[in-house]
Amino acid sequence: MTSYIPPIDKPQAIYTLSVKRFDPERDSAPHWETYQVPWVVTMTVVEALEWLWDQGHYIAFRTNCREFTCGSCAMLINGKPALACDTPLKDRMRIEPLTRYPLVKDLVVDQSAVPKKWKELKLWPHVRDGKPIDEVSAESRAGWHRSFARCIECYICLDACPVSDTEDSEYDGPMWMLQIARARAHPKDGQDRLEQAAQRGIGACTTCYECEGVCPVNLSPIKEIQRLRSGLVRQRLVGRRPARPEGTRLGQRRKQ
Amino acid sequence: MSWSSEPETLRTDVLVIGGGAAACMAAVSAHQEGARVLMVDKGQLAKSGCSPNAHGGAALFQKDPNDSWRVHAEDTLMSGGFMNDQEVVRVLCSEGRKFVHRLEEYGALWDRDPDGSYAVRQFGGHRFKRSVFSADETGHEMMNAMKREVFRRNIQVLNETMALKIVKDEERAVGAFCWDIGTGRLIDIQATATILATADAAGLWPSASERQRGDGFYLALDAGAELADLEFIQYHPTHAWWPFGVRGSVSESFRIEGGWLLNSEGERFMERYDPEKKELATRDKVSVCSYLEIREGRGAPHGGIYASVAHLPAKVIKERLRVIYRKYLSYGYDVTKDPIEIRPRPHYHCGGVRANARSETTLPGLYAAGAVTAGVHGANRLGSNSLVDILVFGDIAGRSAADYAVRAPAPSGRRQGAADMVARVERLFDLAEDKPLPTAPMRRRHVEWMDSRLGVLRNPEGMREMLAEVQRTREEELPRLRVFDRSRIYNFELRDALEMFYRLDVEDMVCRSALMRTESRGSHYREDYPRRNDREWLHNIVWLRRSSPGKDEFVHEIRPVAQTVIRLEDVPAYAGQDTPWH
Repeated sequence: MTSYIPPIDKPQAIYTLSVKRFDPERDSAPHWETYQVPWVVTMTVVEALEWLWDQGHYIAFRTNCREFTCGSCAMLINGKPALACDTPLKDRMRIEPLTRYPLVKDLVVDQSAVPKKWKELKLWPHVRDGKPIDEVSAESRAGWHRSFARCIECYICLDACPVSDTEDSEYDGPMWMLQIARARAHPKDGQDRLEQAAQRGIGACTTCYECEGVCPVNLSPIKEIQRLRSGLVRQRLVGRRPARPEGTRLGQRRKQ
Repeated sequence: MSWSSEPETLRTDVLVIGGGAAACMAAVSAHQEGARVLMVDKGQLAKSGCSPNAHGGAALFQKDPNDSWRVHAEDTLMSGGFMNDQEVVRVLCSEGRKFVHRLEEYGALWDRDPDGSYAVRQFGGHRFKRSVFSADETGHEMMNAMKREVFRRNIQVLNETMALKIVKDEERAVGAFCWDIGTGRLIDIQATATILATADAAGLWPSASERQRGDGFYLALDAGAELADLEFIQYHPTHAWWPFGVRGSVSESFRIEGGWLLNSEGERFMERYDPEKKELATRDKVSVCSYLEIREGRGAPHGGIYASVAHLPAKVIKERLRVIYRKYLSYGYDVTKDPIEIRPRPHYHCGGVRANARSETTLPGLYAAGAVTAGVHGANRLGSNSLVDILVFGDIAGRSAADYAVRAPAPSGRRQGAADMVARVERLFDLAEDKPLPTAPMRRRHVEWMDSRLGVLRNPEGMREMLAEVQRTREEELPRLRVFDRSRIYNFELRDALEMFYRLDVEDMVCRSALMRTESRGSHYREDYPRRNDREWLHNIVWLRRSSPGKDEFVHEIRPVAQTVIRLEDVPAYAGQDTPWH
């Protein structure tokens, strides 16, 4: 059990739940296991996994806030990436780990690449003049929350994206473009984020809209990608950009 | 399973235990002072703490010209039943403002008024609007900014690493003995100064989430620091209870916008308890009244009470209670038509590790900041004060620890107490025991008992029952506790089992403190002593470890509150009453 759930005394039905399990110390490959889980109305996948814990089925998975603000419990549910705490339990559901990051155990994937990416992209404000922000421009205030600040970094959109489906893809993926857009909107950013987006392969996005609609906090990475692209085009047309690093162009494969 | 391999050793100047905003602030400030910093987080950085879930605001900005740190301090003390450490409160209320700018520099944006100045909100118990905010995601925004700064400074973070014991060298803390949940390896972190910035202990009760397990309390006490105010657990009156899948608190706005609380007979029972304020009475009062209704058999079928906004126009609900409306709708529940079931649930533990205004504990080399500390919030926390607490004292702890790390000699390498932990883990895996017990049912029982015996309504019978149960579990069941998941990596069951050891000792002290305090004050409400007693109980109950030859035990001391900043008499509006709540 990871957190306290009210007891399920009178289940309204018994559901079947399949979980792809893998213990690297014992198994050579992941395998499916099937469990019977009591169901009550509005029960979510997280509670089903926690109930299984109480019964001694120690399926490793991450969870924390259970109200869609931490993004820990992302997994593939019936083949689609989703938050377990946000997905009502249905009969014959199939649960797998996310695919973008390497599998460690059961539903836990190795996300140690994430902090590295943060540092690589330097997604923090660079202007350190010690001065307060006197006024936040209307442009950056408008939609700060609506557009990106709400992102909980669940990596669901990265999993849904068919172009950046692995960590060494030429395109960093929707969440990182969204984070670049956020960094750009901050009044103390002081970096050429458009050029950065170009180097990170924003041109490779096919606007297939797979990342749209999977976001548990209803953000629209596509809208931000389009905005970054149009900014990039404008910047290049009027030639306001600073000297471009050697050998980079829109959508070109990133140097390894 | 063998744990006998030598633990890996890491060395640093300042070790920060925790991964929320207080821990990040402490790490950043220590790093700024030039110290080498290492963070260990039981979960993942910026995802595991409570900070991202703080929706309201941070009382950092006394914008009104009539407001001052003193007025803020008075509000804090009145809410805290004068149990607070007043020197700590003075710092809390006077040093917040600089963090508004500091967090902007780290990448946050606060909401602004149309004239460009910072927008401020008023929270219950505050006399002025002084809480800056960022939509209804203030904690998330703060955490995001702090995380960026930790990355910018390239501070080393060990994710999913649990601190098992604070290691001592004679009478000072010199780091901690940790367990990497992801790989199963043990790590001995040798640090000149150690900062404890973990969560509080609300998870001993059926708190809604994964955090707040109270490890920090035990780690500090075990090493030789003091704990105080353990009897004060704040309940939030409106936590989602049914439908089943909805979690977390139903925000205050539910009551502010005119939501009703109903018992099974359809009565607005708050009219009976508080005809004037009704549902808008203070959090503690609404919690107590709800529990009284449930106990009298007038609760809803799943054990909560009804909350309804169905009498309000659907348009109002969809506009002003958008978040709640959408949250329930995603589970197929329409709050414009059906009542929901809510129940008061633990929210914040006001007690914890005693730390002074420089964030020093009584153990040299050990610092504490944030939710794990006592003294800031007294007997009851004022809304939006905790986000100030984590920033102000995170920063102070970081600077104090860095300063100490420069002055103090490096640890000698003598490590008291690490070996016990290896033995404990090995025993947990030893299934030769003939009647092994799993953790989950044991923990579930304790969580449920804490709620029913030491929850909102307390009476001596219940508290003694709980105390007996704690002792029984410790003597009969704990030696048989075993881990059934045999895996070495990501063994979350082992984590829960290890927490059980800490939890029982903290529960024991909570029970004893609550039994000792023969009055009602703040979040501590006793049915046999329903009045506040300032004559006898302007005292803190403090726990510490006392070792004498052949004896090693946790003992308590009852110490008078030092009224060094604001005396009770100075606040006649409060001093003249004997109600437990303000």
